[in-house]
Amino acid sequence: MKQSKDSNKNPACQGEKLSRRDFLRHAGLVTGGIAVTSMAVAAGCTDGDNTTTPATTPPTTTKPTTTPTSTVNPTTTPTTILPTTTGNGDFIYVPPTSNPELVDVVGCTSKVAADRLYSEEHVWVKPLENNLAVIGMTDKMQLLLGLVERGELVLNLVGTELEYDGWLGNFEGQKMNVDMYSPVTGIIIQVNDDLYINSRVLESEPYLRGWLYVVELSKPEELDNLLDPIEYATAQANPNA
Amino acid sequence: MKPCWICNLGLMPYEQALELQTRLAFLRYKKAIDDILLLLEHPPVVTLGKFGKIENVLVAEDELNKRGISLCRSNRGGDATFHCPGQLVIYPIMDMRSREGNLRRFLSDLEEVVIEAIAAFGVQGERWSEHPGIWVEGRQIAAIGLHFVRGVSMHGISLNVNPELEDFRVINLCGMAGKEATSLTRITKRGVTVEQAAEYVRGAFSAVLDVRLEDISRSQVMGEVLG
Repeated sequence: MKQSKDSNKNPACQGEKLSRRDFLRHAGLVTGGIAVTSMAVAAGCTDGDNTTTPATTPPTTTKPTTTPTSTVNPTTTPTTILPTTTGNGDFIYVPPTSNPELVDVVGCTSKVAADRLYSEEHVWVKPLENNLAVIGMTDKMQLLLGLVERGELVLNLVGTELEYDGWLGNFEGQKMNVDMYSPVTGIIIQVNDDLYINSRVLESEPYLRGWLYVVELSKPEELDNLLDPIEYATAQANPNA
Repeated sequence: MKPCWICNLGLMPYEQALELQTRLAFLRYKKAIDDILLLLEHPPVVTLGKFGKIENVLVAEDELNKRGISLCRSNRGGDATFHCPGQLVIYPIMDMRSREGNLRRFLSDLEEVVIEAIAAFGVQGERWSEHPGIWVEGRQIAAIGLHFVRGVSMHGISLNVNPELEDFRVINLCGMAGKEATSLTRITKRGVTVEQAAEYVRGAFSAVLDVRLEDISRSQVMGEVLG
């Protein structure tokens, strides 16, 4: 039997659990929600009493008005926005209106914004104030998926506790199902409701209006494990490294 | 050409094959093994994709069981699918990070594999953009559904060689009422074996996916690779 160079390291055979740090180092997740024509609310997410406990001041959340179902009703108005860590009223994320500066790395054929961090699994994280961060999918993800129509993006609900490397969302389209994984631990305090109306921004503006979540980070130190734009772009240019 | 193992697993229950794929996908993700192509058949089973609708299973589960048909939920894309002996199941466990193109291209490549394989029997298969898979004169000869986990493919495409086509009536194919399945044997009006079809699938897979296939036995996969 042909042996690969790493075949003597076989954590699955030894029953060894893959560490999350190893996931970051080795990841190359091909996931992406590109053209989403509808959104579905994931089953199994927390709902009801959203009294989760963030790292700082417990937020006061409003109960989601959206009932978890398998398909989205575009006419349903999803829940209003979220609490703050300081308890100073609701927080509403408004994305910038101008495109971010892009990094330029030879061999990288996707757009990489210069103002945020990345997981190797094609999720970007833009830290905000007060331990908040915006999460979205990269341009690489939408290119990999290559779907513009008839896809369904399944996201978590407001109040969901994300775990590092836990389920972030899912894209289903054209007989393909692709999981996405969270690069951070925290609580979702906002979901991009505009995607219900205009999902094509996932393809056209992945770094602007195509954001997915605002998360209140419970382990901000996890940001240190993410890739900077140059590292991420370099990884795109050298996928077999 | 990149190397790719190929293993004929024979008849394997769906759940066992799913577990095997999951473990192989993990090893592939860790780059502990090369890409691997699994060829097999399943005992009679209805599977539902991750978001497949139970209403597309037209027979109650207890009735399915009486007929010797299992019912399983899967993590692949797509809706209801029926597997049974006489159907060649093709599961490529491949690392997309090492391949050019996107996921849609990979799905299209798998369709092309089947198109080329059945062409050897004089059968012209067609794609249907609304419903991926391969169709012959409006009937489905191959169903497709994929799952990608951390850049590695699981599940694949299944080609009807000589199954009992009546059994396919327990589901709405691809979630569509009134669609029928067909097979190589039915279309060519002559006996075609799964082994014969597998040989052509093998050649087409190597050509379309641009890989060099290297045989690995079932015992090697089950024993050495998985420990």
